[in-house]
Amino acid sequence: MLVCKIGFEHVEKGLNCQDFGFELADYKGIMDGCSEGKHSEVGVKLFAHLFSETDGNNIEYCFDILHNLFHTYEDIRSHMLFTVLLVSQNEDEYIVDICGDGYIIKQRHDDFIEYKKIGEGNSPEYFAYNFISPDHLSKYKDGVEFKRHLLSKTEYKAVGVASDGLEYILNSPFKDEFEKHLIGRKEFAIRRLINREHKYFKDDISIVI
Amino acid sequence: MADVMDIMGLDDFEQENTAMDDINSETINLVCTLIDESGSMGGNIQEMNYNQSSFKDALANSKEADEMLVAKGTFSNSNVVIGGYKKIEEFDTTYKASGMTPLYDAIIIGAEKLVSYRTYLKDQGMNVKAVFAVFSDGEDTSSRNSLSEARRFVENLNSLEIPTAFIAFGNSAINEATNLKFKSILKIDSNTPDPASALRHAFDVLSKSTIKSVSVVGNNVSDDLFTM
Repeated sequence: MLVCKIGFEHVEKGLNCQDFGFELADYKGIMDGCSEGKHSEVGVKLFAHLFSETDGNNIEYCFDILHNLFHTYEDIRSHMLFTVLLVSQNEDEYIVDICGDGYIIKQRHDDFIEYKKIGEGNSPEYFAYNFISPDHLSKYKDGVEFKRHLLSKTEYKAVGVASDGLEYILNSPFKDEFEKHLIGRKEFAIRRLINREHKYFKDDISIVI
Repeated sequence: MADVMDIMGLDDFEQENTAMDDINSETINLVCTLIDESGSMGGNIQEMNYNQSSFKDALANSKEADEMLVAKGTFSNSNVVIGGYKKIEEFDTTYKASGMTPLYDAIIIGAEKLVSYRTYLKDQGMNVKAVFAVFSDGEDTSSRNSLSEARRFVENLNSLEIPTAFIAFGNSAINEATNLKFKSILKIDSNTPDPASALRHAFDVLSKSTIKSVSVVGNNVSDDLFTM
């Protein structure tokens, strides 16, 4: 199930939706473009396209291609600053690879939903920092890399990821309604909930589970 | 009469129409077809049967089928029967003709139901478009409501940018449609070179407009549907 909706403030400010998500055979994931980047949605969608073409086998290759397109500091800032959250699985575990911030959504076998927030503060670890001279960076001068989270299938029925815009749902009066639809995988009910109460949901929201 | 209709509760809307849980979309196009079954329409039974089936098939076979709900209303004598907004598979294509023509009543009830359900769906977070179409040979012979009351409802639909179409069988119906302020009027009568073809064209335009309206962002439907 994939939901990707533009945030209310993006609409008000005339910004594009800078989140994007996908479901492939072996991977599902979401990307959340930095709102300070003028057109981070361009990088987000190009990355998703490249990632799907390589069947998710070579993330660095995807970023290298993007860097060939956006090679100046300004270009990188405008197009390549986005978080990446990916979910795959093997026989025993769910594998979550994250570079940046967002949420891991964990559905236990009794359908209780747990949320794990990844990254605190306003300085997500964007992978594109690896292409920027440390002189331009106040943090992450030594580079950033994907961090892996392994979650046991004996403990969890399903695992998904979401962009940080999810916090507006979790802090809203509609959290219970959201969870009911999430557990039922009611994609359109979640979309309609976001449409209906759009003013609560200021940031773009993408969820895949 | 129109001012004293009951206000429906949420459960009523769900029961009469399609339950929210059964709508697999966040965008929906409501299609209201009001079909005159008065006795004077008797010469069109075969064509109406055939074209309703074609209309149903065209919508059901489109990839936008999940994004439209269709209500069929019929009127004759003092009876106005308007079904709920249902998936196109449930569209009833049967047709019969007898009795008088409560055209204004049908328009008022149909328009009120359309606007109410549209409002309900919007309140649930749906993006809603709509089309309102009447098939009749006019003129009104048995309504409790007046022309001016019915016109007020058509003008309200026009102000909401809901396309209003009148497929008029003969000159009386043309006059009614014009006086009622329908935006799109298609004339079908014995002087029409090929009446059967014109009726096919009307249903064809209606189905294409509906499908196009679902698949394109914005108010893409021209003021006059039949100039397409």
